[in-house]
Amino acid sequence: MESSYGQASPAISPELLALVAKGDQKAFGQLYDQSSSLLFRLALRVLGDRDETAEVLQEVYVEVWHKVVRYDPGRGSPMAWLVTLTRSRAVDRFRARAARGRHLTRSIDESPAIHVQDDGPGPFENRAEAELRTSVAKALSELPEGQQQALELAYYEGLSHTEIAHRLQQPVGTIKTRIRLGMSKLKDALRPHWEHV
Amino acid sequence: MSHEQFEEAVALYAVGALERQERQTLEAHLLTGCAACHSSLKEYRAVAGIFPYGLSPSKVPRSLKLKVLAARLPGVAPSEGSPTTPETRLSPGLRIGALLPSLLPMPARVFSPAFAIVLALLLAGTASYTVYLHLQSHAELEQRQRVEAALQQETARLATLQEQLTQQEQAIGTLREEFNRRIGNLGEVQTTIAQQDTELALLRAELAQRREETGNLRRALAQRDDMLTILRSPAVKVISLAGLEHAKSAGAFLLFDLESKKAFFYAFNMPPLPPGKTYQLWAILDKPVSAGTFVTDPGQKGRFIVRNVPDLSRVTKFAVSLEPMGGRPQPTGDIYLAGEL
Repeated sequence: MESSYGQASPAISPELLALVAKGDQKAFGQLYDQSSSLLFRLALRVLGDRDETAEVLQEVYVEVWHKVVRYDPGRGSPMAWLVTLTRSRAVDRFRARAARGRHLTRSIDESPAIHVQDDGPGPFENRAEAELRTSVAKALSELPEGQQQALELAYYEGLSHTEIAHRLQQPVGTIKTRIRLGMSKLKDALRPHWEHV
Repeated sequence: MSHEQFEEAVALYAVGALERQERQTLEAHLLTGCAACHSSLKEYRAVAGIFPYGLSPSKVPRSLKLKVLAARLPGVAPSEGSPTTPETRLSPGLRIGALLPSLLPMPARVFSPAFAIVLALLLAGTASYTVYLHLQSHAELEQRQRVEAALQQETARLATLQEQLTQQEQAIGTLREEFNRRIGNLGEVQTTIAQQDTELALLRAELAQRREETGNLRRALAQRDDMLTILRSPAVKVISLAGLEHAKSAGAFLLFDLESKKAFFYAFNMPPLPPGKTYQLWAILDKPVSAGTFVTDPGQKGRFIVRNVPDLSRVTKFAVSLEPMGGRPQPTGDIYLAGEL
C-alpha cells in the first residue's frame, strides 16, 4: 500500500510546468513523481501525521493543477514554488489544528528534524538526492544551535519572530539576528545547491 | 522602514518569520519594483526552498497519487490497484470530480442499482446543463466578439476622423496666420501709399508754387529786360505824372523808347487798392485810350511795360484812374495821377 516513493530529482524543468499549464495530464503525473517525495517529507515534518500530510498534499496538487498558470518563473524555480505552496498549506493546517486545541503530534523540542547521516542513499532516494540531503542537513547542523532553532521554528512551525522570542524567552532583536545570520550562512554554504534546484 | 531594514527583513520574510504588518510593509515595498530586494528575496527563497532536502526521506502512500488524480480529474476513480494512464488533454480548471468528490464511484464502496440510476440521472442532468451553459456562453462570447470588433472599427474610424480634423484645424490655423500676415502687409502698404499720396500732393503743390514763382520771376525778368532795354536806349522820352486830390503824395513817370515803341511806367506812393479794384493808365488823344492796368506792391509801388504806345505826337496827356478789376474801355473812376506832354 505504501510503495510509491517517487523518482525524484532535485530540479523540475519549467518546460514540464508549462505542459501542465496546457492541461497535459501525463506531464502532471511526471510532476507528481518528481516532487511528491520531497513535498511529502516537508508536510510530514510540519504536521507529524501521515494521514493529515496526505490530505494536505492532495489539496496542494489540486491547487497546483488549477493555479499552475499563475506560476511566475521570475520569482523562483518550479520546485521552490511547490515547496513554498506546500509549506504554507501545511503550516495553515498545523495552526488550525493548534487553534482547535488538539495536541500537537510532535514538537521541535521533542523531535529535532535534522538528521545528519552520511550513510549513502536510503531506500527511497537516489544518490543525487542523498548527497543533497547530506549537504543541507550538514549545513543546518553546523549553524549555532540558537540560529538553527529559530529557523526551524519559523520555517516548520510557521512562528513569527515575536512568537519565537516568546517561545524561547529571548529578545525579539536576538531572534531576528539569529534568523538573518542563519539564512546568510546557509546561502553561502549551500550556494552550489540552491542555485541549481 | 529604511531600505537597509527592508533588506534585513527579506531573510525573515523568506522563512515566514515576519509579523503581518511587517510582511505587508515589505510586500508594499516589493511592489515598488525594488530590484535589490527582489533579487535578494529570490535568493533567500531558493535557500529556504532546499530546507526540505535536508529531511529524511519517508514513504509516500501509493494511494496518494490516485487520490490526487481523482480529485483533479472527472471520472478517474482513486484505485490503489489500477494506475491511471490518462491520454486526453484537459485544461486546468474546476472539475465535477473536485466539486462532487463524494459522488465519484469508489471501488471499495458497494451501492445499490437505485442509487446508480439516481447517480446516472444526476450526472446526465448536470451534463445537459453544462452543455447548455457552454452553448450559451459560446453564443454570448461570439456576440461579444462581434460587438468588440465593431467597437474597435468605430474607435479606429473615430481616431482617423479626429486625426483628419486635427490636420484641417492645423491647416486653417496656418491659413489664418498667413491671411493675418498679408492683411498686416496690406495695411502697411496702404499706409505707405497714403503717405506717398500726401507727399505727392505736397510735391505737386510745391511744384505749382515753384512754377508760379518761376512765371513771376520770368515775367519780372522780362520786365526788367524791357526796362533795361528802354533805359539803355538813346532815344528815351520821360513823361512825369503827378498825384491829384486822391493821391497827393503819389507820382509816376513814363520812360518812352522811341525806337522800340515801348514804355516803362513806374508809380510810387500810390494809395492801397480797395478790394476788386485796379489802377488803369490812359493815353489821352481825342479820347482816352487804355495803355494797361497795374496793381501796387507792399511798398505802394506799381510798374509795368507799356507795349502798344499810341502815337505820341497825338497824345496830349497821360492819366491814371481807379477802375474795377480788369479795367474798362473808358475811364469810370476817380483820376489819381495826371501828366501832360
